[in-house]
Amino acid sequence: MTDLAIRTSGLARRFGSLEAVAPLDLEVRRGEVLGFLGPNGAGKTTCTRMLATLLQPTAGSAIVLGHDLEAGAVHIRKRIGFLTEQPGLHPRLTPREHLRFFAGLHGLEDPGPRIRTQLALLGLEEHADRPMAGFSKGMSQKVALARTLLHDPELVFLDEPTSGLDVDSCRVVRDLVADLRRRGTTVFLATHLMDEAERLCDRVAIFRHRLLALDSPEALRARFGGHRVAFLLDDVPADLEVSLGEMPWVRDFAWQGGELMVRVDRPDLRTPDLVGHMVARGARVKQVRAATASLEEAVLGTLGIAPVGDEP
Amino acid sequence: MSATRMRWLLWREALDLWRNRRLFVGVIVVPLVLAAGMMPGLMAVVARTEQVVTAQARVLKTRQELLGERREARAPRAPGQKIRGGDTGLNPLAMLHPRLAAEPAGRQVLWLLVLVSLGYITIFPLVLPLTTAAHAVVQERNEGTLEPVLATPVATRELLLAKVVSASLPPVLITWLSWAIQLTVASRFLGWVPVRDVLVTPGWLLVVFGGAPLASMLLTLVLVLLSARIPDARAAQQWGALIVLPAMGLQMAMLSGFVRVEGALPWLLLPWLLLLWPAYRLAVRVFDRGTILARRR
Repeated sequence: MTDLAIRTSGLARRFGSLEAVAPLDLEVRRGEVLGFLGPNGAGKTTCTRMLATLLQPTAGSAIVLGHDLEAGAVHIRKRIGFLTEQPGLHPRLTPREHLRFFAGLHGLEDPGPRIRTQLALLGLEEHADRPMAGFSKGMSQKVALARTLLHDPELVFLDEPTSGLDVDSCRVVRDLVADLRRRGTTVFLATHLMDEAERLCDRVAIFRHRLLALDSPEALRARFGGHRVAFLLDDVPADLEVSLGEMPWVRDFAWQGGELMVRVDRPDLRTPDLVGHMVARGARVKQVRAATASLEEAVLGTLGIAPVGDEP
Repeated sequence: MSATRMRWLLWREALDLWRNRRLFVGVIVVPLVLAAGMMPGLMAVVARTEQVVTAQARVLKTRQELLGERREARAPRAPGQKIRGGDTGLNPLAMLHPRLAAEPAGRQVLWLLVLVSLGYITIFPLVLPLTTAAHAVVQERNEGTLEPVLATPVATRELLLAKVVSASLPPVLITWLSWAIQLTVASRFLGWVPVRDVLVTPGWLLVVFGGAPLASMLLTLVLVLLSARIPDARAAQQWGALIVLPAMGLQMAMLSGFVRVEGALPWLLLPWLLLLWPAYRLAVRVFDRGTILARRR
């Protein structure tokens, strides 16, 4: 058995003239949580739907859980769980009936205990026999999650699982993903929330119609965020920014939260020089600290979007 | 084809129909109320009126007879001239069922009512699936409930068969039930034997038990075929109405006696019956999960 849950080669999808997914080569290992990060409209859902066999690619191929995407679609669907972007609940059914229905579609024998476990796990027991028409987004998402995990899938696709949820529901979803990781389930997490990806994922793919980067969050931060030094200053001289811009080893700088963030290649060597330069210009350096770039900055850097800075 | 999955798909559809008040009232309650309430009510009114009119007519007839006898006594009748009995003139019942034209006037009205309401009932399999089929595919797609189902091991042929059965079965059952109600009520007012002779004929049985399911299933399949291109349930109903219009026209022409096809009815239905399986296969073939989902609003 291969240790890959997903392997795509040149997988692509066009909608008329729009290339939603450019030929994609991607490997997802079994048991890992892969974050599929990108802005809205980047083609994440299209890609997820292709891998979940809901959408046919216009080019390329993929092997999911050892089965070819086209020839083995039914075998793949038996072993995956797919949390769609919209919960997709039948409003006139109760959560228990909804889960019983999906258990039936997956051919589960005696699904009662499983359904009870899932309902208890997500705190839905007291709402289990109420029609879902009036459910909040959070509750609907919990039912959808229970449905996704009911048949104990080997590979779970989560498409924006925390989108529009309150803090408590987000925590439930994150705990659940963490639990899946502990159990060795492969998770393909399509999201535009950097924080979510940073907390939950082993590796992150940055995607906007094409794969732009793929690595661990730490490596991406280091690679695209660079090393930065944060200075808290008083008496900032007017020409400080101009002079910093003239220094060849300063890659860039920006004001963020009242601090001057300066990106350099070798902070261990350059920080004393920077402090000296600022003091020589008349600035009072109150505090210096090493600042790591966030995943968000790394992603924005990869996507070519400048982070929003502020003035001192 | 998995029997278990089919059972669960049908269970869900039935539960949804049962709990969807708007759909349930529109597809089950209203047609049944009309079938069980309107026609029997009208027949009761007509029958009661007929009793009153007959009683009055008896009095009038006695007077007319007396007057007529006096006139006859005064002026001798010309050869071939009618004096008693009505001139049948343009009798719609004679166009529908010539043998019923010989019935007394009151019963003729009752027969006309029965035939009109039976005509109305035979429209059910053409009209009700417009609602059920549009709900089954287009509305479900737009509500986002189709996507999670498509992500399960359900095969397209299973899903479509469940949709076709669940969308066409209620209209067919309502048609059969309404038909039984009409026959019962008609027998009550007109007697079982004449009702049996006129309405339980091979032609009517073929229309009700062959044509109704056939029309219902074909229409559902057509709407399934169109569903990938139709943005919402209302548009699906409008497209469906456009499709059933010629069939309804033919049906009206048959019911009003303008077109007579009794003997040719089986041959008229046969091509549609033969079309059913290829239409299902085609629907399975063109039911592209991706297009269905991409069209979602």
